[in-house]
Amino acid sequence: MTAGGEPDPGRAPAVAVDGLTVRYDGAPVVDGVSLTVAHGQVVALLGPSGSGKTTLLSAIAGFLAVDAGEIRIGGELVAGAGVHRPPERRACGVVFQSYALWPHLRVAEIVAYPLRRAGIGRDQAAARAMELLGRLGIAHLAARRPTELSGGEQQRVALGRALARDPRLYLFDEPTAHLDAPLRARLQAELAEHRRRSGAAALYATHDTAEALALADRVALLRAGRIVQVGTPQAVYERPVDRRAAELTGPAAVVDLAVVAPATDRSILALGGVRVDVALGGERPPAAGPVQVLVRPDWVSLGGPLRGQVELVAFRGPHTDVHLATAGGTIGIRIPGPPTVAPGAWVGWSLERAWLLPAAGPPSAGSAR
Amino acid sequence: MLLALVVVAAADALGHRAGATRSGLPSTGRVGARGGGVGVALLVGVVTLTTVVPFVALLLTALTRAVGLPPVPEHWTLANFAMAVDGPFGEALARTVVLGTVTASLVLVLGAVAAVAARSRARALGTAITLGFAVPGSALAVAVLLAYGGPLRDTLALILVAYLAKFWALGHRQLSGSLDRLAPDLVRAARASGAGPVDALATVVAPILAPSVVAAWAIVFVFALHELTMSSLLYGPGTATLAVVVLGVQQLGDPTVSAALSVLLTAIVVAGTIPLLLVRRAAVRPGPVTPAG
Repeated sequence: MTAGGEPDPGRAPAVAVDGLTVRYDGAPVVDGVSLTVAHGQVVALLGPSGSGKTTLLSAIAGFLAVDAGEIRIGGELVAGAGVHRPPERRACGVVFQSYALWPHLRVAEIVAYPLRRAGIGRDQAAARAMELLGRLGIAHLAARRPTELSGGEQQRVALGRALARDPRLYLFDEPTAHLDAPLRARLQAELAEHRRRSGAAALYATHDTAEALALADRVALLRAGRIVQVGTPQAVYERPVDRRAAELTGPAAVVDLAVVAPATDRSILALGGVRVDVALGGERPPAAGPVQVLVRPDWVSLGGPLRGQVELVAFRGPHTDVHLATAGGTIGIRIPGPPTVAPGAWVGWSLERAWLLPAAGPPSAGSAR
Repeated sequence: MLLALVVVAAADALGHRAGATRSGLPSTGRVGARGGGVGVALLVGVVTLTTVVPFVALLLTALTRAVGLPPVPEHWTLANFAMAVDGPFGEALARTVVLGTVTASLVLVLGAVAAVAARSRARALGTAITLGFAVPGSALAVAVLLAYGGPLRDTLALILVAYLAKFWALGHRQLSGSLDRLAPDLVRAARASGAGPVDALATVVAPILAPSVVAAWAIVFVFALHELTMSSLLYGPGTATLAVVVLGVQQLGDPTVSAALSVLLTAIVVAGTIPLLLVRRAAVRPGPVTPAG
């Protein structure tokens, strides 16, 4: 978690979206979304492409008109009920996936642009822009044009422009999606750090699970224009509402087994004729009988009473992913360091924890996946 | 156009041969150093034969007192230029520049309308506009003459209609290409940075589109300056364009004066091309731009 503390109950939320619907050609792309970002908090909008993340951010920024519902920024109504405040009068700093740097301006001019719009004098704006560029570590690029910059440099300039607006709310639209992996990680950390220092709230759209879990105070799962779950990163990882939410929030294996002796804390489960004592959680208390459970790689370990055959071994550097065919389905196990088992081998494993998935999946008609 | 085709075809054939001898694969992209040298020599040769030699002949004829005299300095004169300017040339020049200016300006407006309309799924419009460019000038001119020859007989408006139909595609292509490059996020970023709609138009949209607008204008202007096919079919008393006058003088059998006219026509067209080259250069190597605001 990167946020600077608990939400302040005395302040209006940085942004409050209520029953928001946005349609394209009649079809809802954002469908009745309600979401609140408390002052100073980061909420990640996690969803596959086409789930409506960009549309939701565009509606909040004021680029799109809303069809139903309302948006309040800092307690003020900016959209809905016949109100549409234009983007320049909503205090949002937007960082685009495409960077959206103006090709005819130099870096220093781009970062000075919002300052000039805010009525700051030319010299003062230039000085402030240089200071921001220095803070972002790109002061040496001040005289360059966007086409002369790398992807990472371009996104730092775009962040500088958003910071120059000094908004109460940042809207990040997959800002690192176009960058290669090592740079992405570094820029994510930088974005988080600069956002944290500014003390402003942020709504951060991404389809990258690790990114969402790492930088957000709360994660909102978006699917087919609807929010299916909102919670802390740990909550959405450990207690997903359904199977597809589970798949969206990390590596997920679904295992068929039987509950033999249900209990509130640890239950006795049976898998392939072997009985094990497992911390079984669920939306509802478990009942005896066949169930489907979610098993995360960090909830299982090699060695134990259960049996499985190694299907696949993938060495990832710091850890190794092992896929194990079991009586209840294939599970993934993450072991530290290099591989210790080979494909085809029969091994023992143990299950420490599992999460009960709803018996029948929710209606999936019209979903994006 | 033909010149370009010949050169491209020749270079292409050469490239094929050079690539084939080396790798046995048909490769047009990788011409060896030797093949490249031969290609450049061939290019220079063809350009000399087709452009440089005729132009030197034109210039020398324009400067020489009479046809048949050897083009040596003691026979040189500027009288041909004086006669050319004194005659119908001056009027035709003014007329042509006005026609070119009006055509280029209207084509820009029409091109912008078409480009915006095409964005909102009016694909057929783009096709129709392109068709106007593809139809032979002679056919288009006859069509315009049949349709408007009555009310617009012997007016520049008649020629203007034909020019607009012909050159609309040039403006449309240029503008829609640059509009496509103007990503919506660029304007959104300006609005999200505190710029109102007019401010965003002035500080972001206009500067980004300006080079292509100037280029589109200059291209149409230059095309209109030297258009001959349609003009020669549509002109009447008092509406002859520069190219038509050049053709007429040549047919009247005064090669020295028509040569002088041709030199002047070329000079004007080249002058019209200069802003185009400047804009192209500016697009490649950007000069200083005043800070935003």
